[in-house]
Amino acid sequence: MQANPVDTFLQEADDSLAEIEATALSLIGFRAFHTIKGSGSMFGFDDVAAFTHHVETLLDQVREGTVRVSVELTNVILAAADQIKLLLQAAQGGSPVNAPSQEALLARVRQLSKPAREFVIVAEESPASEDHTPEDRIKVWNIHFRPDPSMLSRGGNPVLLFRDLRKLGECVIEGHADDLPALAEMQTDVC
Amino acid sequence: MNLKNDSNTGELKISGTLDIDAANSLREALLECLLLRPAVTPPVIEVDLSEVNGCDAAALQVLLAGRRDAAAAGKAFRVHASLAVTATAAALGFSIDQSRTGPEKERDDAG
Repeated sequence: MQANPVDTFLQEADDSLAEIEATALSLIGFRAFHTIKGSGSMFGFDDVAAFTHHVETLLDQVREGTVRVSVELTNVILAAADQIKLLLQAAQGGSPVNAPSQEALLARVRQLSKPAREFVIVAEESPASEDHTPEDRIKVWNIHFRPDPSMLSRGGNPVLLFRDLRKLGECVIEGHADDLPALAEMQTDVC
Repeated sequence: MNLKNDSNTGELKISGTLDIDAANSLREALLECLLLRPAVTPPVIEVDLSEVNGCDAAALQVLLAGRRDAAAAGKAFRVHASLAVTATAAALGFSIDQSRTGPEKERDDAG
């Protein structure tokens, strides 16, 4: 069943706007959290600095592209900002923060901030051309693959990965070597 | 891996397995060809990999960096690759044999 194209557009627009919001939030947020951590630590707000550190690490991963923006990410960032307010109030003689709820929030941060994966894949469906009916349209995916630098040293093998990928259908692979360091500086177990 | 580096001709002959353990030796040998013997004439680095029976991504990236650095230093970089080497290169979307650069086939895959 074909969905109504206008509905599809509205849904996509919604998703895109959510992504813009989350991206903007994480980019601005990184600096702000970084400042709070640094200054907090300098002036003796150790609890604030320690908590903020986790959030900053997560946002750094978002900037690097190893953690994707998501609704949960947005919610966690907002909840973290609220938590920092509570920590600051507590440090100034307010009521102490609820430890279990802070721990629960940190667990969500850690959940998002999983250990680095072996690679990052961004796949997008090529836009459908208008002169093809849905029946004869071949689905084409553009897959951007960027290995984590530690992939090789951890035993990952991109050759096998791509071999499996080829089994799924016709496949054109184009390598990019532009980011390779100079031979003199290259660490050969890093990719 | 077995490595023979002829300092007079700039020819590098490698046999055996080019894997992550051998990649650094390969790197050092290529560097020697590139940097330590800049006066070798003609300015060609010949890399004979015709007897290499295995090649992984770690070794391939060294070859690719070597080819690029050689070009930057104004030297030709000729690889005579075995099937093991060309297969790995092709699997990752590169072409390593001869002095060709760029993808194996020009494909219009602009979306």
